[in-house]
Amino acid sequence: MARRKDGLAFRELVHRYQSKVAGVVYRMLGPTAEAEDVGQETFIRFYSALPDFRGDAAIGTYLTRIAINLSLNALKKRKRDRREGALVDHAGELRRYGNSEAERRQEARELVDLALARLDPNFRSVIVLRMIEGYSTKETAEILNIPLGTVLSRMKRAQGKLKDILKKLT
Amino acid sequence: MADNDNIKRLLAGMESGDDERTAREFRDLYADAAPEFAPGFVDGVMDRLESNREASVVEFLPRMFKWVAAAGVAAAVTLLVMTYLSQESISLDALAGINEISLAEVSSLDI
Repeated sequence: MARRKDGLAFRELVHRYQSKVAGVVYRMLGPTAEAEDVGQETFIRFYSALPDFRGDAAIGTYLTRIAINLSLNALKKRKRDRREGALVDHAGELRRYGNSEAERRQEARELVDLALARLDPNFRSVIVLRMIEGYSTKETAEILNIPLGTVLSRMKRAQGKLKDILKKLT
Repeated sequence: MADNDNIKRLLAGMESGDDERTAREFRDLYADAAPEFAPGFVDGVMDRLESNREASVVEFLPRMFKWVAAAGVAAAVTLLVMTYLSQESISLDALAGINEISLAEVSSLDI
């Protein structure tokens, strides 16, 4: 009975936070089956860590930490498998959009996603967390388990590279 | 594409060196785009959780059996030692506690 109740509560939690996790893994890995797999693994890891979860971080932040670490691991594995660049191949698949504001925004998002995919994973992670997910520099440092100064320097370099890529793409 | 105002604003934010401004431009751009996993994602997580549970039970049983077997061996050794110390023998009769009972006592049940 208790297990069934736990199961229902956890299902509700997955339902509530899936969009947050999807935001992180899709922007890190692109819209791939691998991203969905990493998303599922994020919740499985969270469930296993529940007995140790002290609640001193928000659930969303805790899930983001797991999701970003699993994404970075997946990117390392992708690199090892020499499959790096799979996302970049989507360059030719950019759709043509109309002139409505919604379509222009969608077009801009696709371009930024494409540019993000071309960034080094360490740079990509700070942009995703700090700029898109809206975490502070301090929170970004805690999530990535790196010093604050490293976040700031990666942010600066990441923005420089992103700017160059976006200019080339447009 | 080059005249996309959203991209222009984003680039201007990055060129300004103001992280807060750039973050605002990013968030504005992504505000109405909440990514969602494919339908059935939640069921997929729950199914994986259930299969992980079953797998952990399957893994747990052989490990538990080792401990039960070790405890059984330890109990048997203790029993043998205690029997030897008290009966000075570890024969089957001594183990069963009947080494000092004669056949006549058994047939008369006058133990």
